[in-house]
Amino acid sequence: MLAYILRRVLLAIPVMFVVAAGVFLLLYLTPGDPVSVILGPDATPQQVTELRQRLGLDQPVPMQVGRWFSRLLQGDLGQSIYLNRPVTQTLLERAEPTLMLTLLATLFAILVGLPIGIISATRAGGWADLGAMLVALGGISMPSFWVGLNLIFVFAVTLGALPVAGYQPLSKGLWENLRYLILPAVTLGFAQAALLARMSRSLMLDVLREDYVRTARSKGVGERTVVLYHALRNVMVPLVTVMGLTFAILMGGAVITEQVFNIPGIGRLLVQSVLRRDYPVVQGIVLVIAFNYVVINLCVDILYGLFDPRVRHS
Amino acid sequence: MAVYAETERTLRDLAERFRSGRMSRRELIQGAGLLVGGSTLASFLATCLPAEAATAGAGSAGQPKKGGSLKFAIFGEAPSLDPMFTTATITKNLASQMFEGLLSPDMRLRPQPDLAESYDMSRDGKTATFRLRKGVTFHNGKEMTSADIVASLRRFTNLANRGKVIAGRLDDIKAQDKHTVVMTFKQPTGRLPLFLASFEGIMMPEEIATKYMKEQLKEYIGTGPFKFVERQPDRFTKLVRFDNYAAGPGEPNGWVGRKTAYVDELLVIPVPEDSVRADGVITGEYHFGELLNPDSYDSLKSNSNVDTYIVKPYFWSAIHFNKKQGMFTDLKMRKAFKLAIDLEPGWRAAWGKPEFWRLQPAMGAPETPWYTEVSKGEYNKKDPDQAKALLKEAGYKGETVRWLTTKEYSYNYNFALATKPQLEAVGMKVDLQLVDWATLIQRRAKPELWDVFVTGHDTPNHPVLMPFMNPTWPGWWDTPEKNKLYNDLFAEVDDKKANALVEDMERLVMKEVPYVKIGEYFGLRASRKELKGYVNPVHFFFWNCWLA
Repeated sequence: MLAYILRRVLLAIPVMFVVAAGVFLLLYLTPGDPVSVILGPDATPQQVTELRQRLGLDQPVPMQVGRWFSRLLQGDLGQSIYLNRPVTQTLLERAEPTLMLTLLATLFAILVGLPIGIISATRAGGWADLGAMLVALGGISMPSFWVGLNLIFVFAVTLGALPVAGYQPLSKGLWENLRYLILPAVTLGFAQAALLARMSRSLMLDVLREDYVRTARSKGVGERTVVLYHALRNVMVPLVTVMGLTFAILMGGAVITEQVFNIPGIGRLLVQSVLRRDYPVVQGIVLVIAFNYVVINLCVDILYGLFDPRVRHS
Repeated sequence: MAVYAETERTLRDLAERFRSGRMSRRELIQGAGLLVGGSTLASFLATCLPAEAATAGAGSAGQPKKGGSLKFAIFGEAPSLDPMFTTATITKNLASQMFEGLLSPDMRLRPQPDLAESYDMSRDGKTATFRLRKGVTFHNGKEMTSADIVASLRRFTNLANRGKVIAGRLDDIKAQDKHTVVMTFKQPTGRLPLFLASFEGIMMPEEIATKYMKEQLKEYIGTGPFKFVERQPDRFTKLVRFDNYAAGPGEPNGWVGRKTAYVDELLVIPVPEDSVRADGVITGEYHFGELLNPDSYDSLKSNSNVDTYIVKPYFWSAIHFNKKQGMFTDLKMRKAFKLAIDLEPGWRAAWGKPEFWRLQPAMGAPETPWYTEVSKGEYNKKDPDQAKALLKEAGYKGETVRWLTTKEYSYNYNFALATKPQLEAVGMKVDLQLVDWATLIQRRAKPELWDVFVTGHDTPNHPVLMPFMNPTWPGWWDTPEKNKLYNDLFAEVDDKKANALVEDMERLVMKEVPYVKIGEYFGLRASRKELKGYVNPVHFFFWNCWLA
């Protein structure tokens, strides 16, 4: 298992380099100039040229790529052009909001989606099943910004129960932090919950038709034990993959939700950095996202082993 | 990456529509099928639930009181807090809370002594003498002297957009004594006060000015009523009251006179979604929100906890021609373009409610001392027949007019879209090149890539400060008549004579058609009723404001 993990980690390095190089070139082929954005609409061409020179943006692309890679090897992601501070620092500042939002949204998705899926499966064809799946279908189909704006309108503007938007760090207290994250986490978690509910229902239905379930039932094992102990364990294997990927996607920054709820996370930073043509920040974020995928995939594989002994022993 | 930009834009548009949907359900349902369920839910809830929970007392102005944290939502993160480094409006807004100039504008936008106690400009316009206010301290506790002013002025002329314009005429900046500074010029520079009061001429301690002579500030030490504490990009910028602030003499008047900081701190929060800025003011999350969508005007106005403000004057826009390369190097072509269009439909499409725009010909606004109507007779006079005749004379053969536009400022695109058919009606072929803002400002610097673009200009800026007066600014207005007139205007010491030269400049604009002035547009801001003493200046400030 250890050798397997090591091999996976080593294989991830070239993957990330290819991603980095691809993003770098793609960005430089995109029109637009960070310096003009920074200096404002009234800047003279002379001012633009001077700052471009000082930032080294006037040098040929291969030279810039080379410089960037050599710094990357030393663990330096460079300096944000627009924010005038190190990319690493900028990313670390955004990590907490995105991580908290992702955790809460995933938690919501699991706590809501999984039970609904299981209940639907055990009452397949009944009214509860039909109703739950209808809601789930709605959840998958509704765009998250729309859900978000409706939640803001109902719970923040009309009822005044929760803040409209923004973020308070954990250092301000857990409740203060959660208060601001409830609406965005529900917005973000809703679609994932719906997906999980539908996935777990169909997987559960398959498993409940298996021979060993019938055997368990014929032995006189209670229905609750059959479903939660025997069946659920087998459902979990594919479900963990789905949850892991969901987590990886969300960690890349829930772009739209962060934008609607004004959360200073990775996703919002990515969008804004693209618009500002802040190349070093965009490259840094894409690298972090690639890294997340690799790590989370690895974690999913290890979890597989826990749920399925066959993987552990192979 | 473009997908993200597109998503953001769609999102912004939908947010706007959603907000207006609260006012008119029918429009919303027609406009976006997918919103049907939500609007029904929203309107159902709106009828079932109490409309608005009154959260704070919105009493009369009363006596100013100290204390509190004033939270205000701005539209984005400033590229820098250094107005000598960038010309971004957002930077001016924030910097003017912390920094002051030798001169600053009053409420009518005339330059007045601020850190200077008084100043003289010699009759030949070649020597300006500034006597400084005594007992002024910087945020770091150091007393302000002429050495600081000399260094700051050097940085201004070295680095700042407007300062560099001055630099070409500058002879020397000298400290005559501890509280007197003299600027001498090689050529008459009578309009100097306008440059110094342009919000770019901020004063800082000598050692800071010297350290950051060629680059943007990383330490923000001014003399203003608020001092810098902390900045976390995209999250907040925090300023606190400067307790040793030395207020200027005289009644408060714009950026000069007595400035008193009442609130303990200013918390500047970047909120890119305009609907969230407005909702935040409605719910009390923010005390103040700027650049709100005019669509939210009615709902904000009807809210008993909120005051709304229309910022007038604010910005004006022009269609700029490429006068260096391509078809619009020909004056006849520029005139044909101008005569082909009626500006009103486009400007209405761009701004909607009549409270938020007006059509008028001049660079200045009726609220500014340099406003003139000399060009009224030739402004917005559509004549398609004459336009066609001019096109023929110019030998136009259906070449494509490349019009750079962007949806990042939705007015820009909406105006272009509504105006394009009028140009096509006289036989011009128009290609609207829709790009994002970062691309637009890059492309407009390259004469081979475009023919026309639209941009906004600060209405409070005097014509002598307009960016297009620089012959190297995209558009390249570089004719001998204009350069001479600009030089005369720059040199003029007397305000009245200067105003006459502005009139000449407006006449020249009609003659040479370097651009077509479209019209003005106004900003929407809103505040909680508990914010008192706010006077709604062009660039907002929060001294003399308190929280009831």
